Amino acid sequence: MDSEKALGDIRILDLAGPMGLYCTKLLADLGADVIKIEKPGGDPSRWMGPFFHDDPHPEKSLYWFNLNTNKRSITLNLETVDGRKIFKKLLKTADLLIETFPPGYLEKKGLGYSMMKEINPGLIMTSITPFGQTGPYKNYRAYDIVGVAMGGLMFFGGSPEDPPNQPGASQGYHAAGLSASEASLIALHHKDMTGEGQYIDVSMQESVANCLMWTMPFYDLRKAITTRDGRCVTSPRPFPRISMAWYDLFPCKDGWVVGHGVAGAFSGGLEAWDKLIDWMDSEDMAGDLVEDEWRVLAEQLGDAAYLHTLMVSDPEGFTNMVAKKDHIDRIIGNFLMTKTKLEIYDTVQPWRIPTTVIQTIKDVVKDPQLEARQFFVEVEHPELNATVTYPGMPYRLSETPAKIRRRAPLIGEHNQEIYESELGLSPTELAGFKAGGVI
Amino acid sequence: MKKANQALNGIKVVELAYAGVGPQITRELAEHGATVVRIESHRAPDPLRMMSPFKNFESGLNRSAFGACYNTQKYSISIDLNMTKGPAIAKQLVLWADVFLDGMTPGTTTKWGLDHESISAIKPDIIYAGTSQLGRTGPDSAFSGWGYLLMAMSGFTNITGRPERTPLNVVASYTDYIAPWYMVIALLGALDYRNRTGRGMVINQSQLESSLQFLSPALLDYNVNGRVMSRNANRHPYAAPHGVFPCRSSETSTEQWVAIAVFSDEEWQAFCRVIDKPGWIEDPKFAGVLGRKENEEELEELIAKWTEELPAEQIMSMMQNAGVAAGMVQSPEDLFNDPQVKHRNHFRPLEHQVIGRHSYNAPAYKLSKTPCDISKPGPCLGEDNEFVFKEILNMTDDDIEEFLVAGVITTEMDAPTAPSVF
Repeated sequence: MDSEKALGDIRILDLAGPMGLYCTKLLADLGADVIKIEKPGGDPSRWMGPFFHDDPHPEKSLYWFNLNTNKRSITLNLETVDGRKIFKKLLKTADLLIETFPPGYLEKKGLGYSMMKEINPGLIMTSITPFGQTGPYKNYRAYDIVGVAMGGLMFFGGSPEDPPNQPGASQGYHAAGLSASEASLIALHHKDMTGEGQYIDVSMQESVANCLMWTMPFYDLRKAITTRDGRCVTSPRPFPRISMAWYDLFPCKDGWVVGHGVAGAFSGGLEAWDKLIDWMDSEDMAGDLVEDEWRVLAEQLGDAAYLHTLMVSDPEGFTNMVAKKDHIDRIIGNFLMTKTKLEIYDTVQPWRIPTTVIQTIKDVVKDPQLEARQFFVEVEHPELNATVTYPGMPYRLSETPAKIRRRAPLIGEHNQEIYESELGLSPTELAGFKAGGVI
Repeated sequence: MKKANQALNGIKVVELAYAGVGPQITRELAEHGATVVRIESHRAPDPLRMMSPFKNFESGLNRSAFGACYNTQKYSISIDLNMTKGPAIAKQLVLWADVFLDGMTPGTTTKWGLDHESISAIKPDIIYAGTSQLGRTGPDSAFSGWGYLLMAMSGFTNITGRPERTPLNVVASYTDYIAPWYMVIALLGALDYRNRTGRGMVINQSQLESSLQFLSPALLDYNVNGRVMSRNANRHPYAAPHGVFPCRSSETSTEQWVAIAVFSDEEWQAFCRVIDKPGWIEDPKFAGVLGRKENEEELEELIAKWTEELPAEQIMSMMQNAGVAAGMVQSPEDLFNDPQVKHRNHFRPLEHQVIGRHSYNAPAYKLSKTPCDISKPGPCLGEDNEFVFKEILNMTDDDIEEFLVAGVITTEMDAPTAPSVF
């Protein structure tokens, strides 16, 4: 038991593929002892890119590095009788088992939850699958893109003139891993209190659906369907796009910025508007926006109550008015093209114009806020003669900080440590299992 | 009201938060048995209470279905923290609680004496969890933004979309939906530590730092290889076909799409048989992933000619029956009617006293022994004053009356309610 780690008293067996590796990584970073069980030769996820120096090699996958920090690795062939026997020994020492096989697979191998519970009555088992363990789609397969499509997230991504667009960077897998991690910890808490284990059934589809918070009540109450309009926050039909001025993505001199309305509910109101127009006017780029008419309009466009009343009482007047946002945005847009993204951000933030830079990956790495908080951390990879800079932790716990204590394991790096020192296999037995393809 | 045998029974939480992230964190604890008291005020209501959709299009503090969804199983009290006696009531709750969730802009709670230092002075073993957009330290800690902006800051917007077009948002305030899950995990970790040692702690969350986690492979690729990941529509560097394809229109919708992803040779062979192009299996142009990547545009056009003729649902089941990963691009309507989602009982209707019957989304996981409980709809503002003041804080009717007269317990807004977004 290690009181410096949040989960220092927890052991987890990791039989997960891409859909679940993130779940066990989160728990390992918090301090749990996670044993990654790989098939002899290494887990297939080791072949997923990107790779260190673009060299495809099972010990050089950055994808693997990221998802397996702090874990220990053993190799074990569960397809063999001896492999399953060793697995059962290991099972006795575990609090939690996490797996992502298709429903029924482990059952067929004689390793279903009911059987494992006989060996370890307090065991918690978390199964992560695309659609859950039961139901009409339980046997359906899904990679990330199918999960985000079936979970409803993809429907909103993209411009109206293009096909729906997948959000970048495996959102479905990550969402499933996060949900599973949460569920496992809830069950661990229950086990701490009562000694009782349980079975957890996680669905990637539902994990994704839980990222749709705003849009679902609209359908539920009004049968209104939010449309695909990736530039602005989408509004469910029959409502127009949010009409506040500068509520959109804008190109600028060296990239893109995004605004959340210059004179609306979330901003500094007319005072912010005046400062912006003064700035533009000082460079002769405010056009007719200096006129009072546009000032009044900007305020009205940011006033949801006013617009709501107008929409009901005078639909035509409402449509005409909302269309004027385009004129304001065109002039602001022309001005922003003459400025860099940081100039814009630094200038208008203090005026309470909610705006930010649409950061590239490079911008994120150089972000001064992240730098000041020392978010990125260096991790030694002695085998590569390299120190790699990793993104840091998602949260900061004062007494038991989550952190990367050790780089991801090499294939079977902890075979000896775990099989000999912990399970008590003799070197001869170990050699025999190796020769037999069990380890 | 609470069912026995829930995992987090006995855990007591005080929530002082607004908008999306804070309330969702405590909601997930409440649905698994924690007792959560939400401190609110009619004089400074949570903006989510002011966001549509409202019952019958009329705005009002207790009429937003969106706002209600964030607060299942919680108890709402209404006190004014800006009045002298307001913070005293809040501190009474702190003495009762195991967890204090601060979801206000950094620094806000200090003026009420509800910052970490003041609270841990009266309750040393409290777990104090603070969540904010950019964290409590650093040059931009006071940044007051929304998920819509954070999505751009964390890099999602720039990598979503087609290479030849503009960046795209993922959906509304995307980071607001993923950040809460991280804090739930951190809180449960802190509870594990507290059970073992009796000690509390402070947890700080920068929602930016949490959101960035999903982009870790891209960040490592930049740090190690200098590559800046950019927009790539729906394509995948190691798979083809990998994208969405147009399907035959249905009765209810003119647009139908199906997502298909083929990674392995086995899947490719099965795919070719389903679309009745067995010749492609051996065709050198398409036989390997490298060939398919090289000729991806042509391949996608040919596939679209086949998918256009059939309904999305039929394509999905044809592909799935052959072992190929495929799924419809589902609209909210499709999701509500999805037989699998129904089977999992994901959307659960509850009778809200003002909104009427409306649906609440359930967690994505099912715990066999200690399932979630979704039975108490999001409370009206101050709905649970009597329960909390009497049962938890042991106030008498006279105490309550006194606070009501003084206006410490709030009962109505100073100005008429106006929606913040319609």
